Amino acid sequence: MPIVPIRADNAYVGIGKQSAQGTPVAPSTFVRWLDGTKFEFDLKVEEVWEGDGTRRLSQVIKNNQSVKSAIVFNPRPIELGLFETACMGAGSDAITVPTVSTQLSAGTSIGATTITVSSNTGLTGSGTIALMLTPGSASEEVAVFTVPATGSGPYTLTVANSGTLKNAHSSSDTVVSQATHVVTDQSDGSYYTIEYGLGSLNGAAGPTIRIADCKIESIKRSGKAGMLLEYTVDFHGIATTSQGSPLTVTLEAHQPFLYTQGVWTVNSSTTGDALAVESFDITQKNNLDVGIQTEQLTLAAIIFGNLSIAVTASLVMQNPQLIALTYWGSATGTTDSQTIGAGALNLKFTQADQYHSVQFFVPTMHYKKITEPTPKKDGKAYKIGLQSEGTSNQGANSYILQTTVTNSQTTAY
Amino acid sequence: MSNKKIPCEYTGGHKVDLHKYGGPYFDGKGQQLLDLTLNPGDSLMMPEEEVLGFTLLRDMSGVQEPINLGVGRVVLSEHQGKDDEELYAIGYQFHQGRPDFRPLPTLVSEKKKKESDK
Repeated sequence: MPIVPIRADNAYVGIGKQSAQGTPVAPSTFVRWLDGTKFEFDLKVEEVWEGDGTRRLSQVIKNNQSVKSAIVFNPRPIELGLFETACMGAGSDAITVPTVSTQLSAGTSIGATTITVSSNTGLTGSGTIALMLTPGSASEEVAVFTVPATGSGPYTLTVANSGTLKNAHSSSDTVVSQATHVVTDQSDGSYYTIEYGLGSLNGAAGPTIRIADCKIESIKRSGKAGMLLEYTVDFHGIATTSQGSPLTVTLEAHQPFLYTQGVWTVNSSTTGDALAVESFDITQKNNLDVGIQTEQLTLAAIIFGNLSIAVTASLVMQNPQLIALTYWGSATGTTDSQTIGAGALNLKFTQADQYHSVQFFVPTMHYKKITEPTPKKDGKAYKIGLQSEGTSNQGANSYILQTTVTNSQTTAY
Repeated sequence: MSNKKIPCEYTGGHKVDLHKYGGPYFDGKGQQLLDLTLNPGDSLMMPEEEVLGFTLLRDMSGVQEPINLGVGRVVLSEHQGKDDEELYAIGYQFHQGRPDFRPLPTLVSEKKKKESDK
C-alpha cells in the first residue's frame, strides 16, 4: 500500500483580531512565512504513581493544555502595523488620517507627467509628497509629486524628478497621502486568532488548526546588511479547534522593507557608529502570565506582564566611543565609572515609493554590555557587539519604544 | 462543517493576491478567475462558514467532541434568552467570519426577502 506524503511547504498561517476573548475570528491577514515558523501544543501532564502493590505506573493525566507558536516573516507595510499593535497592546494605535484625500479632476494615461485634483488641502507646502492614486485597485500606484499644487482649482501636480505615471487612472479616482500609525505600549493586549494550515492548503489531507485567544509573548525585529527586515513573533494561545477546510488565503500586495532603506540615528548622531551597523535586533518581551488556570484544562486568561525592550547590534568598530560610554561613563571617559552609559536609537526604513515606512524610536537605552573587539590573525575588521535595554528613564519618557508606520490603512488597527 | 460557497464582495482596504495553490477561484457569478489579484469591490465565491462564521457547542469538561451547530450565530432553543456570558459558560463558541468579505445577495436570498416583505 503506497503512502501519500505531504510537502512541508504546503502551509499557511493567518491571523485576525478578536472582538473579545472566547470569540475566535476567521483570520484575514496571511503572511508569507519563513523557516522557523512553527506551532506546538504546550501540554503539561502528570504521572500518577499510586500505591497499588505493584511497581507499575497506573496512569497519566493532563494538567493543562495551551499552544505556543512562532511566526517568522518579512512584514509588508499593512501587516507590520497589525503585528506592532498586537504586540504593543489594545488601543496602542494613534492614527493620523491622510492629510491629502482628494480626487482626480480628469483621467490620466500611462506616461503622464501631471495630474489634476479637485482639492489642494495638504498640497500647499513646498517640496515633494508621495501620493497613492486609485488605492486598492488594479491600477493602484504611488508617485512622488512636487508641491505646492498650482492653479486655482482644479489643481495641477507634477510628478517629481521628471517621472511619469505607470498606470492609467480615471476621473474621480481617489488620490490620498499615507496614514500614520504611531504605536506605543499599553497595559494589556487584545486577543487574536491564529490559524495554521499544515498540509491542507494545496488539496492535501493535513490538519487545519485554529488557535483562539492568543497574545504576543515576544517580537523580534531584525535586520542584517543586504537582507530584508524580518519579524519573529512568538504567541501563546488558549484554545484550539480543528477546522474542516483551509481558509481562502489572501496575501498583501505590497513590498517588504530592505535593510538598505534604513536611516540610522545612534545616540543622536547620524554619522560615526550610525553608519557602521551591520545587523540589529529590537526584541520586545511582554512576559505573558500564562499561569491563570481555573476550572478547565485550558487557561482562563492571558495577560501582559512586565515589558522589556532590548536593542542589540553588531557594528564595525571605528572608534572606542561605545566602549568608553559603557564602561567609563561617557564617550570620552577614560576610567571606571558608576555612570550607566545611556543613548538613544532612531531607525527609519522608507521604501522607494516614499509612501510606506516604519520607524523605531527608543528614546532612552541603557548600555549593558559592549563586546570588546577580539584580535584575530585573519586581519579582518574589528567588530563590536552592542547590548542595551530600553528604559522609561525613571518615568521621564511616556514610552520605551515607539513604532511609527505609514501605509494606506486609513483606520486604526 | 459546511462546504457550501456563497458569492461575496471583498471589502478589504487594499488589494491582495489570492494564493496560487488555494484555487480554483470563481467570481460571484461563477466565472473562473484567471487574474489572482483581488481588488476592493471584486466578488468571489467563498465558503459560507468563512464569511458568516459558525457556532460550536463545546463540552466544557473537555471529554465530548464539540458539536458544530452551523453557520452564523446559532443558539439552541433550550438556551434562548441567556446572555453571552451564560452561553459561554455552557460551552458556546461563536466563531466570527472574515471582516474583509461580505456576502452578496443571491437570487434565492432576494426571493426569500421579497416573500418575507409581503
